Amino acid sequence: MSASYAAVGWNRQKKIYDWLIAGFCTSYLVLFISLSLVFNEQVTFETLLIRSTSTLAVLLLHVILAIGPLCRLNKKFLPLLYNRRHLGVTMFTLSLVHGSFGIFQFHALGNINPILSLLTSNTNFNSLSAFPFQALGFLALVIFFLMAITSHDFWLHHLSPKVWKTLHMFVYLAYFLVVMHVMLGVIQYESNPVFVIIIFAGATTLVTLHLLSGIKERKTDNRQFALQQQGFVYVCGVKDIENSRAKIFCIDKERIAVYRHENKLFAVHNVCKHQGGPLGEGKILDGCITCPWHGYQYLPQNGQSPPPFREKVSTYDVKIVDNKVWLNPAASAEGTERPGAEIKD
Amino acid sequence: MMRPLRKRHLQVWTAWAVLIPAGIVFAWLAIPDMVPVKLLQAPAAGLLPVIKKTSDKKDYTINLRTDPGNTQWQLEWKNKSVLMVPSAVIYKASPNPSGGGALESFRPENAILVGRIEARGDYVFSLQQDSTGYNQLHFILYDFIHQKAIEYINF
Repeated sequence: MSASYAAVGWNRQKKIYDWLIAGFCTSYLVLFISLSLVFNEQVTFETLLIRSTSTLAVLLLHVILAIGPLCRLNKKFLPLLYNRRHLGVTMFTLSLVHGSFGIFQFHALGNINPILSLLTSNTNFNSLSAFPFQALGFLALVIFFLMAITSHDFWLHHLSPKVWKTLHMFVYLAYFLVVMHVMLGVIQYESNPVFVIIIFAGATTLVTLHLLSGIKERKTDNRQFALQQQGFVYVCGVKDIENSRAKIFCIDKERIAVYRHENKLFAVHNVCKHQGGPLGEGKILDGCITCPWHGYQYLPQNGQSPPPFREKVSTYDVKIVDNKVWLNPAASAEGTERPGAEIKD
Repeated sequence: MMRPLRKRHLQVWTAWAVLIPAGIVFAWLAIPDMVPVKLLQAPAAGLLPVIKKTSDKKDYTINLRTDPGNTQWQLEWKNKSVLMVPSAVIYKASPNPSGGGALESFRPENAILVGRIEARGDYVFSLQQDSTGYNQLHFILYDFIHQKAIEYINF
């Protein structure tokens, strides 16, 4: 969370995260290149770079796409989400190295523009085994490029979270293109089934994780609240909500987080203004509701970010009757102060 | 996350749950027939002892190897200098018709994939048993990136 734009808002966690990424990537590349040289000492430098960066980029893409659903299924994975952008930019950089060397090695020796050569040299669109797989990879690279250059809060604010999120959902299309780039490319010329098995296992894992988390979310969204009284809906018992934590309820298609803080209950809209993170899955830190995704903060009594920040979320009325929590799903304007409901022992 | 966005995520991954495995399986089934060996391989210790035929080109030498009983066959490819194509495949094909235009008319789907080579190095590939008895063999060096036959090699 920052009051002004900086290239990277460094803090200890981000530095640790980035050192881990750098350490892992370096180790992978060194290991891959060393093993390749042991088993095929004739291999050229360009080929080594093309292969090592491509396999690492595909691996990182799987990790990146798994982080979201893993966090939905288990909060222990949330630290991975915190700096996912840097992981994404790293993956793009590796893809760019792979793409650049591929274009240079396969298309730069002719008298046609290398990009034009890539897109026009093979037009066998009606053949699977001879399909122009390089064009698929190139298109995925363009998507990764657009995502990488907009992976900053400056673009998030200027494009609006809705447009930004929509743009970044193209990563799913890019993933499909990458899978087919591999399957219709190198796999067509390798007989070892291990490559197919790895790609299939990766895709199956991702699909399963996303479907499981999606089904879990749908259950929360579809929960019915039968008891209603003067606009209030009975949601749970007081003891169901831990101190400094929240429970999330979906009423009238909106998710509301009911937080327990200093012996009171407060209700705010569950969606963080930054990237739509689930505020109800965070906790109260320094007297503020703290989004579990990137640490954006809001005061529980009025849904406002503490000065100098200006983000605001809607607040809701909540009351306690006989240790039962009742919630009014009619939202107050964003940033409206609400008294909260006092918990009497 | 907003409810519509959650819904869109689930829709996309439901579609991918069908399309991605289908894409993988179809692409796998489309892999051309090839000998059951790793295509990219260094010269093996088990080179067959008899060189039956040799074709010596400017940039590479190709040996057709066999054992004394002519029961096994190998294609040995030795690059003498760095090739202009960084990676190419070798196909076993039907005879090269005399006259021009043969390279242009080559279609990989009508040939048998033997193996893949790179710009440098020596390679050896096992050859499947053939009814012709290896009296007449025709190989094609093929640039799979540009989908273009580079050269015919006739034994």
